Amino acid sequence: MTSSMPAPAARSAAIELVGVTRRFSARAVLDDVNVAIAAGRTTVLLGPSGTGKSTLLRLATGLLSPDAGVVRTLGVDVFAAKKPSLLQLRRRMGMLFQDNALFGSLSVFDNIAFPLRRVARTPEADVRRRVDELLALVGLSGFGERLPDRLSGGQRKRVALARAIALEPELVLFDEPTSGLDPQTSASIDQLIRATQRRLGITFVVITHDIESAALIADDAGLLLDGKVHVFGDRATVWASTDPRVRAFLDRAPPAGAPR
Amino acid sequence: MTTTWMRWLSATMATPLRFVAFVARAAAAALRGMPAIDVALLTSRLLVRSLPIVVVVNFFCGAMLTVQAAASLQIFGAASMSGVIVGFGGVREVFPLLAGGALAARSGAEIASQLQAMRVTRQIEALAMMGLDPLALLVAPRLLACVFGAPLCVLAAMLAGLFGAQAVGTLQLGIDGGTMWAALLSGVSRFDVVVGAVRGVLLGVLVGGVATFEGFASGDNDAASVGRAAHHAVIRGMVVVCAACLLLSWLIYGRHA
Ligand SMILES: Nc1ncnc2c1ncn2[C@@H]1O[C@H](COP(=O)(O)OP(=O)(O)O)[C@@H](O)[C@H]1O
Ligand SMILES: [Mg+2]
Repeated sequence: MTSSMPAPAARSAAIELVGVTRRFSARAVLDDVNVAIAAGRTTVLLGPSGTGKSTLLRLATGLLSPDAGVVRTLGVDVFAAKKPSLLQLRRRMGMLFQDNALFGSLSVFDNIAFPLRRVARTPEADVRRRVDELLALVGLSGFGERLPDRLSGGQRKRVALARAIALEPELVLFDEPTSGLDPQTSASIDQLIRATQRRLGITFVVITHDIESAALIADDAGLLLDGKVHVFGDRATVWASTDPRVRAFLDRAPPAGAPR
Repeated sequence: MTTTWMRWLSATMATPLRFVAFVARAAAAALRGMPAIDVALLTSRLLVRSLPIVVVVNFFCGAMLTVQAAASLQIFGAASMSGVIVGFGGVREVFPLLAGGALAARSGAEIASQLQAMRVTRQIEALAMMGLDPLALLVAPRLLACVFGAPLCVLAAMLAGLFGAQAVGTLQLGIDGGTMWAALLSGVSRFDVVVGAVRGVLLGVLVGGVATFEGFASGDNDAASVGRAAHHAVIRGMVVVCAACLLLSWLIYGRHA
């Protein structure tokens, strides 16, 4: 009986990194990283700027390759996969880039419709219905005809979210969704992220250095320091950690010897 | 000793080889097919942007060539034959060359900066994240637009140059209109026009290839890279155009010149 119990690692992981190292000009930005991100939850990866958070996300999508180790996303070994299966895998995930990466020459409507039209080949009548639905979901009904330039930062983030979930992905990756936004707008984006995850029940992975934001949306949390995942677990456990470096980051203590 | 040589050679050849591989991949993607409407829109955009400058530059070039041809032929009392020189040298060499240069300066720069701006703002990665192939989606149709548009630019350049010559010949030098036009055309055969069109296709591949390479494959994504991509597309595009024109002229006209 007990021998048939699944090992913890076999619990479905949306993203799994095993011994992953990535160097940029000889410096190991990620150094032998091991982490398994659970499916169906929101995981927040925290860390100071320049610790390789974005690098980790790009590895998970195959936009960047590791120097060593295995990356498994939605059960697919990203760097063993041939190009067609990698493209197939990417259709199962959505990504919000730090600067949104909206198509500047297309209206909000056409941005959100883009994956429906070009990837899913959705009939035009269904495109309209689906985009209206997505606009309502992110609170932007009536903004379809605007160009991205004519929106506020928070609104652009909402459009990026709508576009990222248009194809009903199993996994959505967020690169610093609240960076550059004012505190109130940040809070409303955090709420939207949380509500959307609850509603869709899919895996969200959010990287950020915004501790307040993490406290609001995380089910699980990890802290990246010096190219390693320093701590990883459910939010309550991480927030209660007594590890001095975790405490220093969460309590926003300046590093020892920093100028005041 | 040999290793130093080989290292030098591989360092020198790395970028040209990468360029050739890039254009080959883009061409392969183009052959796999793409929305005709994308290519049509990009081609018409290229023509709208580049044709005016091609026409203006070559009209004046034809005019200036005529002035100098007349000045030199005057010595032999044959100023009325200046059209022959412009017909030969202009149509075969100078007008296509200038068309390629103008195309690189106008549409090459535009294509490179547009793609590089999409790179910097991560729009290219956003496409890749949708499971699309940005090379097939962005590079291939732009390359095709150049291949379709450049021969038209070359032919327009030839015509504009001839008109420029005709204008100076009749209005300034006082040569009879019929005589001038006949002299111009005596230097031009149907073969030259075909060569011009073929040259146009080659220039399209080169200008379009360099522009998309600089905009799509530079590997940079800093803020200044957009301007850099544009000026590389112009400078490198022009160098490649000059080299290709020189080579073609040797191959086609070199033996019985
Ligand atoms: N394409 C790249 N080329 C060179 N260095 C890079 C590249 N991408 C990231 N880096 C370097 O790797 C480090 C981590 O970057 P990043 O993953 O963006 O950090 P974070 O997202 O945590 O702020 C930084 O020092 C950055 O300069
Ligand atoms: Mg980052």
